[in-house]
Amino acid sequence: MDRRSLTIALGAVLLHGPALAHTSAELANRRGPNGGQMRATPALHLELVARADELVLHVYDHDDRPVSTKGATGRATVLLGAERSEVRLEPFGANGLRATGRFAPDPKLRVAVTLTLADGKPQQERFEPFRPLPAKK
Amino acid sequence: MPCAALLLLLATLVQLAGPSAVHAHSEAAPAAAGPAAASVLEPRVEAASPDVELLGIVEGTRLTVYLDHYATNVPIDGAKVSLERNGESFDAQPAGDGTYRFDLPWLATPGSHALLFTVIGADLSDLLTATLEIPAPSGGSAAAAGGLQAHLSWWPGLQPRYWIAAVLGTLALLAFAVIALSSRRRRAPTTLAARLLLAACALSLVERPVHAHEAAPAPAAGNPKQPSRLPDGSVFVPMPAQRAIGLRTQVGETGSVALSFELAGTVVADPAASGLVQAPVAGRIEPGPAGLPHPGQRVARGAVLAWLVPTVGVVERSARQAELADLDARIEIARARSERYGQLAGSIPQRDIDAARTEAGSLVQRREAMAAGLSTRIALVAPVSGMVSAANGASGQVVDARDLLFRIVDPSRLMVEALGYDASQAAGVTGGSAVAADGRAVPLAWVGAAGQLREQALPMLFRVGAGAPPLVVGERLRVIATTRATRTGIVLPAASLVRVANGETVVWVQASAERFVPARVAASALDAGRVVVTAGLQPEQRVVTVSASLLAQIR
Repeated sequence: MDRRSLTIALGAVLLHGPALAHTSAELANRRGPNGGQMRATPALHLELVARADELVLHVYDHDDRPVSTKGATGRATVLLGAERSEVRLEPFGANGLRATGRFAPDPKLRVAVTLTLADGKPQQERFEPFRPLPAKK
Repeated sequence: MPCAALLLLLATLVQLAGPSAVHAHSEAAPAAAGPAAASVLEPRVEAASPDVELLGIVEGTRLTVYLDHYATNVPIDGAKVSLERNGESFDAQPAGDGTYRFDLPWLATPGSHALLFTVIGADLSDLLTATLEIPAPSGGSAAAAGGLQAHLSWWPGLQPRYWIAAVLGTLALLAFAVIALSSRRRRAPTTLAARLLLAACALSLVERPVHAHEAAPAPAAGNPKQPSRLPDGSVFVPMPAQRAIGLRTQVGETGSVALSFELAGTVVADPAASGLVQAPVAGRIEPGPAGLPHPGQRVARGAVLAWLVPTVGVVERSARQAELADLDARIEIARARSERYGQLAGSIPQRDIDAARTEAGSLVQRREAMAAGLSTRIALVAPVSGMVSAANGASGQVVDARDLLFRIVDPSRLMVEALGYDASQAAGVTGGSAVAADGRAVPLAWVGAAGQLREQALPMLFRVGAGAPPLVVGERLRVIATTRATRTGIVLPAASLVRVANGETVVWVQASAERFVPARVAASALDAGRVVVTAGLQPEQRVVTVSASLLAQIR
């Protein structure tokens, strides 16, 4: 057996592993690096960290490497029961956007984020920042 | 070298075959029907959250939104629905049955619209993001191309450019295999072939599609507004049709449930709460105080159901009457003697006086007993309280001793006897339930199993529990006995299992708002109304529980 051919062949096999992209469903079972809920858009991983007085959106690519938010703009729609409000997200840190306000730490709180990176199209994603992680089976 | 060739062949096949599920942003991703689907279907927009599933169908400048609960498919009525596009907000008009209408002039504009839906209902509120693709109005040739693409794109990843890549890769592989096999001992061509192949693989890797947000398969032919079966075996059920057939789903609960098995059973009367009325001697029946009992009549314990007049033969009767006459004479004589002795008290021994009196008394009693035997009747009484279940007696009927006249059953205390053909089965039984022929569920409590086979079967006895529907003795039931042993699986209503033409058992899994995929499952009955699926289903999948059998009939 030609060892070099085998190596080449094995290399080719390994290269064929599927490109790593995630779905929001796969991300649903873990917290992000900052303890927030993780969601996936076609191009990005987004992590929303919600506290009583601020929302911070961290932006990553699909390998969880930070993506710069310089020049990015964003908007967050917050819904709790029948109460709906909107806040602006301003660039914050290297890969974050931040909004301040009053956000009740309720599992029913829904946040929809519209994010436009400096070079990109607007992307939308919804979050339930205070929903507990699914129980481990 | 053939080994390496095989590996590569495998790798390429895997790449070609894999629909690349990792890329399907299924959850919460708006699987908006893409341009391919648009050629047959109206543009659609779809969004889902763990609580709410939303489907919008565009007709001209009208967007009809169907809202339902994600897990159950129950329409959400009375919600306030609005949508936002580019910071502009629009409110929907409720149209009943969980549908809402938007009239949006910009729907006529082709292109991609990012939408944010706000749903505020009585007990839930949610935000949903979705992308609506409005295709450009297509001419004749474009429509034809669209149709071709719709036909080819029934499976994500099998679009024409991927076909080309696949064909190129396979040709390269074949060439490589031929070279490799024909030049086992020559190194140079082999290495060259390997390099060629590596290049081909790299090319196909570059060509590899990223299937993020792949469109849901659209029906390839037929009227798109009708439910139809897709080439991959799944079915497309438009939302209006789902509403019409009342389709409901359920997320199965994973759990450890008691193992059970099925038996054939029969309803029997509880021996302690049922009874027979038989004739103790041969005789003639006369109606009781309330007439003769009829089937279905309630009787109390001790109530006289009928009288039985014993029959006496002609010879026996005349012999008795002769004896009575004889007794009458002897009584006369004994009384006279007793009186005479009484007058002679003091001159004859007291012992003789007492003996004469006693003899007269005894003869009178004997006559009474004998006369009664000729004219008395026997009361036939109900041995238990209950309902008359069988009545065989008629007024004036002459019956033999031991003839069965009435049967009484307490309908609130019935039992079920099931026959088991494996004597070891009875060991772990803890309870059970039964299904009547018309599907009614009957709760059962375990009584015990006989210690002896009867006609090669082991009788097992259950008591019918409270809340059972009316049963009749002798009714056939399907008994499901639960045992102490447990099994882990997904518990579903029995109505969600469907047997398909080839004998397999499937459940229908809701893959997206309008698409249902059959999943072959291994399932066993848990009790009268539930089954446990032990293989073939993932937890958190939505399974159709109502109208599942209708889906199987969609062609």
